[in-house]
Amino acid sequence: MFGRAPKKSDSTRYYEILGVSKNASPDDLKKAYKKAAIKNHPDKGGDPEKFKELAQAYEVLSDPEKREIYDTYGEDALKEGMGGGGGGHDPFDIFSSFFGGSPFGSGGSSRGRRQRRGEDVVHPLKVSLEDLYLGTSKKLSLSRNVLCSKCNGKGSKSGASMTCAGCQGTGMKVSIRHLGPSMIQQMQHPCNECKGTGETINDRDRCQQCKGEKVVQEKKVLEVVVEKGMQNGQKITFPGEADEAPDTVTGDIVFVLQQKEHPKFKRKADDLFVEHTLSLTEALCGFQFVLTHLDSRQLLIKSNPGEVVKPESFKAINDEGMPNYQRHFLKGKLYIHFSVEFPDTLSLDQVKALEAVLPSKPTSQLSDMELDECEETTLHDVNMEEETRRRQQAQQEAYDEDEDMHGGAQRVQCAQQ
Amino acid sequence: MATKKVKAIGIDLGTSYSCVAVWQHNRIEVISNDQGNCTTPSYVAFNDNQRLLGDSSMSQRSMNPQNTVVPDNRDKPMVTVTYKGEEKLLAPEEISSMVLFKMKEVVEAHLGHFVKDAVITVPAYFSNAQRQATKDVGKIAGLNVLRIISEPTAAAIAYGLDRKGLRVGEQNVLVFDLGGGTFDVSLVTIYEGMFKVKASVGDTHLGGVDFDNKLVNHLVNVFREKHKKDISGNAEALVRLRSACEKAKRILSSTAQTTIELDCLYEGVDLYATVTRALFEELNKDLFMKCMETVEKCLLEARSDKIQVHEIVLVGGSTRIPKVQQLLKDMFSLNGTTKELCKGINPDEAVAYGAAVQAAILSGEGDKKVEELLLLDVMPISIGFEGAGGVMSVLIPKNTAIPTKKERVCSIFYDNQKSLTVKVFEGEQVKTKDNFFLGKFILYRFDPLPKGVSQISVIFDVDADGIVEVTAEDQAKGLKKKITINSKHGRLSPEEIRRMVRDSKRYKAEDEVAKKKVKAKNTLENYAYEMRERAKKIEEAVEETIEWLECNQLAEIEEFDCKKQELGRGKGHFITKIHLPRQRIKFF
Repeated sequence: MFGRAPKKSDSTRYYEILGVSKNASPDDLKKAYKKAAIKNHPDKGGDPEKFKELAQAYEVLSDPEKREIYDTYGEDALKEGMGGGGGGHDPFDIFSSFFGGSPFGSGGSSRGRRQRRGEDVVHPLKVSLEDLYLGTSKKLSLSRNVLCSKCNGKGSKSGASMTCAGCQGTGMKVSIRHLGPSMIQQMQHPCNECKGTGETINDRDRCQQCKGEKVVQEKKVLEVVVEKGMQNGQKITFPGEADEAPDTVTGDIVFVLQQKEHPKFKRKADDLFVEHTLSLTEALCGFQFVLTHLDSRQLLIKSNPGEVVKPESFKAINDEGMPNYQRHFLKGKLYIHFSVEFPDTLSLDQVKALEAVLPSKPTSQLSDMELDECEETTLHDVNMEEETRRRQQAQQEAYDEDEDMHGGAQRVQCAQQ
Repeated sequence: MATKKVKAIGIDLGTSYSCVAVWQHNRIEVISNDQGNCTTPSYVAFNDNQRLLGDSSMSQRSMNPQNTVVPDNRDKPMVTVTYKGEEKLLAPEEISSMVLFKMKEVVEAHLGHFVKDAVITVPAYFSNAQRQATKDVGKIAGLNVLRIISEPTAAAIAYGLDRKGLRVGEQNVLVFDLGGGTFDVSLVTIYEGMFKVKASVGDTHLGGVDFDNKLVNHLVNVFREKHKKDISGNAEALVRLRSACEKAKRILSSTAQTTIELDCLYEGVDLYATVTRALFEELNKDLFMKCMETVEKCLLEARSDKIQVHEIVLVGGSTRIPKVQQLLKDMFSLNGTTKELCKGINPDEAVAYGAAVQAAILSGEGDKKVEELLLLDVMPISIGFEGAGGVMSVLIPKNTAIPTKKERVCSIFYDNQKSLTVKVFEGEQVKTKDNFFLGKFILYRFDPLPKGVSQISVIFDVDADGIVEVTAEDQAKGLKKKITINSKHGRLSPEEIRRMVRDSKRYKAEDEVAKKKVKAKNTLENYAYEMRERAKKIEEAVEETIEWLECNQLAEIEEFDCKKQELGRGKGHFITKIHLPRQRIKFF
């Protein structure tokens, strides 16, 4: 069994090397390191060995995980690979032997007590298409629980806690409800004395700062950076920023982007779509218009000479779509969807003028005799919506008739029985 | 007041151009060469008479392309040149040493005294072997190399010293270094005078030369289509074309359009082409995008967001390309606000500037500002040893500040194992076979014990110069073994270095002979022209005197004597005076 805990060794030397107290803040550490480093670096006439020790001490103490391991188990634990120092995670870095061979089996090791993971906090974050085009940052003020710094999340000055008398440490209480003369129901609910933790703290030993709650409220401002080209539904995670609790790995705060509707532009991945209506004259004879982009640039959209734009057709402009998120110096395409607005009527003079310049109509050579055999018809306006509704109504009536017949058959059958 | 002697210099040894700076008059001064340029081409040329260094090697390049060479730090090929009629094989280190020698000469000519100590810069991705090789190069050139530092660190120093008063707290500087032949992006943290590289990513095959080549290839194609001739095999034509393209590239940084005109480029045909900035940008679009991807990679490696970058420092001549600057600005723009790039530092000089600051620190010069600075050099590449299954166990990660010392307690693998091999590797891959082997040693005579019980300490110790010493120790028995990593791979042997030092001295002596010869020739030429001019004046005076005699046959004795004296003195004003009264007499 290789699962032994590393032996405890000195855990004060690094603090002495830097000249700080055991509860020094990260800022204190940085200042102390900077001052000592300038004094001891070989370039400044210092002792290289002393500088190496300084660098090692600062590297460990400035990393919260390594610092905790150092404080708990001392220097030797770090040498055995705890804390992931140097990129190697196996605490037993076993050499290949002089005779070669492949490994079978490896030593296991516990990294300490298994901890529960706290819940993530998920927030929707509404962003406009302009925000996603330009990139933006939003400052959000959030309130969360953090471990009390005075008692280190113990809730008491001495660090001791007592089993709750109300629930005998289980955290749950059983109550009985009478539902009627001969019926009862047993229900479990969190103990109101200890709030489900199973522990209580002596009033006189209670931490003054957190009042025995182990956590205090902290207001924090997070700056959420929305990168150019991010997508609807994309998550921006702040690791370890959710509520803290004792013996819990702190969860993340996750912002989920919600892209707002844009009145003019529609987005599909990295491409943008915009609608534009042309008059018949513009469609046939050329057009020119200004489109204001998401970054307020004004793009001149112009047809090619002699080009005819057909109804419902698309034109694309390269590099004017959305930025790509991974490579946002690259952009998608901007598609313009064209509708053509036809006049309802034309005067006879207009018809003659158009016939003169447009390609001639296809001629159908019908003789007078053939024309006589045809019946003349008249075209009239149609409202397609009404027509559709009428057609559906007719189908409904036909269905009703079928139902009647079916019902009749059933009735006959029953009479026979 | 007597000028104090400069003790140490800073040299930016670049792929295309090099630069030298010193601490003088309480500040850093970048030294101009004999042509008045702050950067000197990293070229060496050889011809039938002499070796040429610096600008003179550049100016004759198109006429002597085969024998004009530049140090190639990418692939390190041996180069053959013809020198004084015979072929010579040169190593890249030898060529680099000639460039360093030239920079040494430049600074000595300016200072008026010899210098010995130097700090030299290298790209951030240079391995320890490459850094030691650069030290060798300095030795060959006659320099004592105090320190090899990374180019982005040097550039950040230049920025930090200039702006020290503005700094509050920790600053992250992105150093964008796009030179002639290499490309580097680094994130440097500056904290109250301490400089540390957090991440560095580079492309050893990207730079201004590659941009030029895109234009060269384009014009070769244009020439082929137009004139049905292929010039790609003609070295002389290509050198002329490349030189013209490089010039055009520079012009396009400040104008939208330029023309390239090369008379009689190939087989009597001229090349005439109009080149626009838009064309240049289109030809190089892929390369510019590659630069931006490298920036992304650097930020990823540093685990930094763009918003955490306070300043962007431009280094290298190719950062003057407008499109490159535009793309960088766009990348760091947020909320529609534009991020401005630091342009207060001359991109050609920033690296040499920083190297000179470090030189001043190491030699004990400099003022209070310099005294407060500390440069934390870092390991350019991770080093570790081989663990079970051929896994790379990194002990000193990339970008760890040096000097540093790391210890790892390990265990043996087999029951009753009696010995073990410690193999040291360099690289970023998970498996040692994909990394670079540096050295090994074997520890013997363990006591027989079950596996996992013995405690072996492995200690990696790196000094300020990046020299790695690896020790393995059996803690119980006190058994110890160590190895110093010499980074011999690809490096010159001591014998080769000594030979190159001798060659360097011989080249120097031959240069001096050639210089004296040129000087003597010039002296004679000047003297001859001077004599000719003097003879011309004498002849004129003689002619004047003879002419006077013909008109003044009846002059008095005194006049004749004066004229003789005048001719002897070379003066002629008396002639007019004498001549005029004589004419008046005739009229009377």
